[in-house]
Amino acid sequence: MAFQVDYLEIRSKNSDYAYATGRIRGLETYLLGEADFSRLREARRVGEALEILSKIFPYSESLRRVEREEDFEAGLEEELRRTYLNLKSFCPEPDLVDLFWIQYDFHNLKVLLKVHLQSKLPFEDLLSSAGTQNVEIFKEAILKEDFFNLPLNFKVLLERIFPLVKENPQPQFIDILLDKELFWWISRGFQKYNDHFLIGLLHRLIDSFNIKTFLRIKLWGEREELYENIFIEGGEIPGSEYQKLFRQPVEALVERLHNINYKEAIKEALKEWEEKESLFTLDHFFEEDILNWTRKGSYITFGREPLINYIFLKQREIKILRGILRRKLIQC
Amino acid sequence: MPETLPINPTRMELLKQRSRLVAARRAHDLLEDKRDELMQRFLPLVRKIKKERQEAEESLRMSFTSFQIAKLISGEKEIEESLMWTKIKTGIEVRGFTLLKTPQFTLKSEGNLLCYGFYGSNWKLEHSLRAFSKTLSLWIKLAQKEEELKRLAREIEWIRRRVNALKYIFIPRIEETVKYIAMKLQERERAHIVNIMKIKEIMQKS
Repeated sequence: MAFQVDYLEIRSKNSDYAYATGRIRGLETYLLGEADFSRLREARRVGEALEILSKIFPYSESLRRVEREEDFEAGLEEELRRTYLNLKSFCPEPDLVDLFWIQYDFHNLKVLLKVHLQSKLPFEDLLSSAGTQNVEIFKEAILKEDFFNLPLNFKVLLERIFPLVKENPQPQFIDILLDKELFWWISRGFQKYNDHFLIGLLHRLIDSFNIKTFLRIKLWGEREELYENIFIEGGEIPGSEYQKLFRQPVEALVERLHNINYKEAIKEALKEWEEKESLFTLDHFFEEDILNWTRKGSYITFGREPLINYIFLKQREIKILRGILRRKLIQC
Repeated sequence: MPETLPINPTRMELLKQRSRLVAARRAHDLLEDKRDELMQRFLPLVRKIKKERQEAEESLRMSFTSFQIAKLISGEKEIEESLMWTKIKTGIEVRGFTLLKTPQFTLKSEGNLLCYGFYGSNWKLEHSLRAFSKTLSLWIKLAQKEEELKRLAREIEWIRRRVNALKYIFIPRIEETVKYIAMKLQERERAHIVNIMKIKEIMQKS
């Protein structure tokens, strides 16, 4: 008797996501294409590019409040915020959507903690409105040291880190501590779903951060002993092993890695560094690596994958737009 | 026609004015030599500063471009957040002075340039900060050289005016005075001879 797979057992069909995937497929049609980017690139000034962009949905909504050409980042941030609210409104697991926007909350925490410890810093313009939490609640909680109105997980986080940052009020310490907390938060959130796709994505995000950070410290000749505890556990190389690699030549990293794609990418990056002191190839490689992983979402009928693929495609779209608009601004 | 100096036409004054003339001519020659020497230093310095200014401007432009690219990679707010609380302090210290009294600066930096985390920032930010740091020292050196050039130009101008004053006013005036005293003395001598001859004639008649 031939082995038969029950239709409902196929993992590519998580029927909880049936409606959400339909909405995602609809939203995917609004992602900008190469023709749109070409039109924007051909614009002579940043104002002209913004004019073209403001005629394309959904940017027609997001760019409405941009008054000055130089403030285009505010429009892009608004687009991120709108995407977050939109996805969260129909996603059957809204907590999963939060994990991809939590970085903006951590950004706000960094800004507010620095302001709290060094009160003279100007900060209003640095706060991001794209996070999952209202900035005003964060502001009141941190500046008044009253965490009562915060959501429980943020309350626990701040109660834990506040004594640490007060004991060591250094900007880099605050950033590194919160970066680690961010990864820990995302990793805990992903592991909750026990999904191979999310675990694979997490590994890639951690590898991207660890390898790029290692090379930045090593190639710029920074004092390595200051950065021993900054690596994140959960990637291809355990975080603690990077400390040993610090004491060896940079090529030792290539030997240590098992992933053949990483090896090739790092070799190319080192070559590029020698020639041009640039790591663009490495940035591009990790961006493509993550997108190749999330691209599975294009072939899966219903599930988390299309949602996550859409999030990464949207983030890349905004990054490309930022690139085009900032280049126009430099040319001016 | 140069004027003469308001003095008594005596032999003593003649000697004094002659020695002043010698001193003035010597001063004129020395100042002229000094002016030529400074001019020889001035023109290459102008060319050098022009080149260095171009380099400094290019370096500043590259640093700003790098900084904009860093914002392009990570986003403006992330980069601004990374740099909102810096730990590096930069100042200048006067090391000494040159012959023209131009202050010599030394750039002093304390603390680490890398004062931020690695998640919200990127490698291009380090690149731009290092570039800005190099640019700053280039601009300090340039400012020093431009100040040296300004002082050199002022010095040349000052010497040129003195050389001209010596050449066209002071020396001709002394020369005229010497000539005037000499003429007066000769005239007085001739008058004296005439007087003696007159006395001699009167005495012979009587």
